[in-house]
Amino acid sequence: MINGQTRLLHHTPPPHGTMGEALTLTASSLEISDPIETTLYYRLPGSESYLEIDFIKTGFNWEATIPGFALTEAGLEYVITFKFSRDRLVSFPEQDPFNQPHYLSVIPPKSQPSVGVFGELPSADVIILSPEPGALVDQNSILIAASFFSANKVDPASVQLYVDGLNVSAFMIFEDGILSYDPGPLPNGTHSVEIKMQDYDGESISPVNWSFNVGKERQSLSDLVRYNGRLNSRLSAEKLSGTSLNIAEVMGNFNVDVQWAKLKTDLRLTSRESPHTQPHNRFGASFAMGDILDIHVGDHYPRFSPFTIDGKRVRGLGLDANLKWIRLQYISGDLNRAVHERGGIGGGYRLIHGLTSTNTDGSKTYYLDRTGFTFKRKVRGFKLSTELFSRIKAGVNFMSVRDDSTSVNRTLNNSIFPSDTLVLGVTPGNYTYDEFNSLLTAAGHKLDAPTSHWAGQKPQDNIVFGFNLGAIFDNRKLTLDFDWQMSLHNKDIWDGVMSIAGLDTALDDSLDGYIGLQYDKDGNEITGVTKISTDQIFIDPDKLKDLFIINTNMTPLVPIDLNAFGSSPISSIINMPSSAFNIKLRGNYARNSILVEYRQIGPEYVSLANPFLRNNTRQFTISDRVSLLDRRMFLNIGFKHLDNKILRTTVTPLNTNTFFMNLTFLMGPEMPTFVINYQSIGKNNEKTQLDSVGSQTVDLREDSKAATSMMAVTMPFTSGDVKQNLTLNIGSVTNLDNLTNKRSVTYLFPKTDSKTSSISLSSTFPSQLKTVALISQTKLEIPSMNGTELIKTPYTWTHLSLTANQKFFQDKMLARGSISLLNSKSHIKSQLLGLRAGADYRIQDNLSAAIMGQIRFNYVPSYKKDKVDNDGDGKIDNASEVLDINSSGIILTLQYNF
Amino acid sequence: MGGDRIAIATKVIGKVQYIRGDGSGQSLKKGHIFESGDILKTEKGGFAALLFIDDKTALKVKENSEVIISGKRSAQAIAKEINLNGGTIRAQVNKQKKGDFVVRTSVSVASVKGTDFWLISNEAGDSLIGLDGIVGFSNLISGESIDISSGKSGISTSDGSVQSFKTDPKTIPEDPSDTDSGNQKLEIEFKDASGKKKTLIIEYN
Repeated sequence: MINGQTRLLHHTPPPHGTMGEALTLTASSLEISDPIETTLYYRLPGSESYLEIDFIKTGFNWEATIPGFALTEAGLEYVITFKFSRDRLVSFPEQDPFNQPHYLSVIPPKSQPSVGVFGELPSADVIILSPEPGALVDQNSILIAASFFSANKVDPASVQLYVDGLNVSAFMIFEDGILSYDPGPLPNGTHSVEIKMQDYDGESISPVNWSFNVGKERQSLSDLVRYNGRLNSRLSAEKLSGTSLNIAEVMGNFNVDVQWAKLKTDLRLTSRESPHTQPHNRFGASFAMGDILDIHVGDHYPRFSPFTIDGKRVRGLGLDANLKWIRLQYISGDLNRAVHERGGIGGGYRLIHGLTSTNTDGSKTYYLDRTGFTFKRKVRGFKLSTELFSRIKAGVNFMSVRDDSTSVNRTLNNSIFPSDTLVLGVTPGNYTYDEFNSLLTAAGHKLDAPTSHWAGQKPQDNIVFGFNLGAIFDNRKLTLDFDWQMSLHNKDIWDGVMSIAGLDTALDDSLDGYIGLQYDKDGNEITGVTKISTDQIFIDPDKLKDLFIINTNMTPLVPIDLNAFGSSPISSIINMPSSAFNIKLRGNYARNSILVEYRQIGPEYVSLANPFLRNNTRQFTISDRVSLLDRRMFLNIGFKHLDNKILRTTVTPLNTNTFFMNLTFLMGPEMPTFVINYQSIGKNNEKTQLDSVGSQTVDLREDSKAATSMMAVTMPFTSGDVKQNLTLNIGSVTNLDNLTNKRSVTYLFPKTDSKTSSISLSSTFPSQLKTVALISQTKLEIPSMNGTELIKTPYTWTHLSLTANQKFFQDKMLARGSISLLNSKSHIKSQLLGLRAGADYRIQDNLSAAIMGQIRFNYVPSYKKDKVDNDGDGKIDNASEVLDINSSGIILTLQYNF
Repeated sequence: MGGDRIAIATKVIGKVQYIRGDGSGQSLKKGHIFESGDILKTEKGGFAALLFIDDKTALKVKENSEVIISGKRSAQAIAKEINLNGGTIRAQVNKQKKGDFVVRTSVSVASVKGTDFWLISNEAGDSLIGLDGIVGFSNLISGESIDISSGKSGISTSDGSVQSFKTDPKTIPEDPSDTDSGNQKLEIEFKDASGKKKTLIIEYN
């Protein structure tokens, strides 16, 4: 969406998500070629790191489903990125997506869960007496009962009982803290129970939910061993702009429950798997023994803290032992696997002409660098934590991440790379290493192809260690948490560990007990140079090499600012450039969920297991989410200040002040829902003067405001027998440069304004026909300069689509179809017409198959008379340039549940 | 020790009665809330399961048994005491916050903090079968006491003797609440000419 029409990503955000319900996001690319990686990143608002999901192509759209657990009252932030070849990246949102992700409001479902904005609502000690959660009970023996013996704060008058979503409070008996209800015989299957309640102040208390099964007792073996699973295979054959793309995938999971232990396995095998990329295949198994022990093998996603590892995939072993008062988490595995080359021509070697040298005899030595590789990155770590008496939390953690420089092949025999006319004596072309070396030698030249210390990526080493403390007050209504971490990062461990004497002479030639100390020609110390006494390095690097490799490439060499330590020791410790910490106060009072947080990540803090950390930041956040009108209206309001003023040496810090407000109003069942989001982001870098670059002045001053607003209304209504939902969605992004009057007329304020509007109508007919009609329009104005003239180039996309689903044959078959038209209006007008049709068929109760075919036409009327061969077929302005099949494909899916 | 509401009947099979105070026997139904001092009597084929409301401790009473269910409520917990006047009971006792869970017969006392056991009482004496945890098993006549652990059984007789031995699995009573309700059911599905389904349900013991 940044550099022109052919790189555009089209995505219309949904008006809102629903708590606990999975949400599928759709995006489409107008790029001619398919993206290499299509990723959805999502997180809880304000979190440090994102979780990732790959998009799946569904014809002319890409879809990714956010799991239900990620949709909480706090809302959701997400970023969509499509990565194309040569590292071209397009994203939604377009600007600074990972720091300013798109915020999505999340509304409660019809039956509200116990998830609060920052965690759970206050809970009451209600004891479920009968039936046991998950129990299998006889149809005639059902008694629903719960005890409020220890739930003193619950107002008995507020207690309401729901069975299968129906309010049966009028029929329950509630006496002396004992709730009972005899529902009579219930049909076989799973049934749900929910008890809603409030305290004596009228504040909501987390509802108690459980479910049970009605049916026959299973046979003895199935009593002991229960299993289920799913196997899904998917075949897609597509043609995109003449290029065929066939993908086969098998996905599945298998779960075994033997009462005291559970085994879960997940598997994905795809033909996209390649030795030239990080793995696309996934396989993992977890073994749980009650609530005490979880063992993960294969791909898993451990979490220690936001500053260490927070959901990044690890392939290896994970252990989580929770003995109530103490918990041990341990990981050991790989963050990256070794990739020897990227594949294709130039995927393993690259000639760097800038490093070509001339020998004394006039011959040349050419430098051939290794490229396209990734070192295996190993991770090990543990976290030991405790929660004592529901009052105090504490923990310590350590994590080590190291690249294995021996994991990548030093030479590649079959890798082909290009040589050009700058190489003397060798005909330009593509060669293997041996071929090129032979030709070069024959021409009297030499080849320098190092087997280590390559110019590109360096092997790295990183350790992170720290602690957390927390306090819980007032029956978990108020919590205070403090998390502190420190990192050591070595950016280049090719040379391994250095001795103390080696460190002494690494930056200067004098073995004088100081690192960095230099002398003039008379042997006098040059003042004003940063020097570090080797006496301050109190550990022998060689003895620690298995833990961390110490050499001159590590940061920090000395973790604390020793000069500042004398005058202000506390400030020096807190502001250590390689430390990160946050202090967080959360409160849940009087329908308010309040958060006050300060977070600081030093400029040298690095965790290789959390690539989303943005270092050199200080952030203060204050926010409140309040529920009003009996939890029908939610207002989330807050302010964030972000800057990079950690170091005193920062002259022109970038300050970002964000005010946000989200309002959600749920009038009730079958009533309209309103969502309003507003965000104002002010940026200022405190620069007042222009900068000089060579003989020119450049304007690097920043003082801008970006306002993002979105309003969505969903109105359910019935016309005749047809149930309908009408959703209106209007959004805009407006950027304002506060320095407009002080800028040169040639200055380009590069930020893009946009407006989005959409209207959709979903209808459910008595015949089980379901339709969704959608019209949306996005308008951008991309600024550019033509001399001193500011030009705003408008881009407008209008999207029309109609989707229909119809069930047939006693619901055994679901036929699906859609038609879509995307009209793009900019320098070049074009239209994409997509047709999609298919069906799901339930062959047996546990076996289903689906087929989906799609075709998309690209219509560019201006190509008819532009006298250019736009499709490269050697013919100018022929019919196939104007109308061609942009893509077509068929997708087959087979799913078996057992 | 009277009047406090302490437990709820969660399962009733066959003929089971409860007696409150000086009243006469009333038919017990699931959902009934027991007050301290209530007497529970099961007849042949009868069975009742009840749960104490403070910690979900379960008491299962088999046929031809009579128990007095007593408990004293405090803010934190219920101090529970069962008097078994003959018959067979199973106690699945969760960890007690206040005092022990006590079962008395005419000749023995079983006292536990948290465990699972059967107690069978008749005129000859008492037999206790440990299923989980440890039960302190005392003879009231001699004062002699032994601990019964999982896999062990103890016998306490009216002559004052008490002894333990390895449990013969065949002697462990069947727990009706572990299987089905006792009422077996036969379901026959009929379909008429229009495809409408109807089900005939026959219940039998």
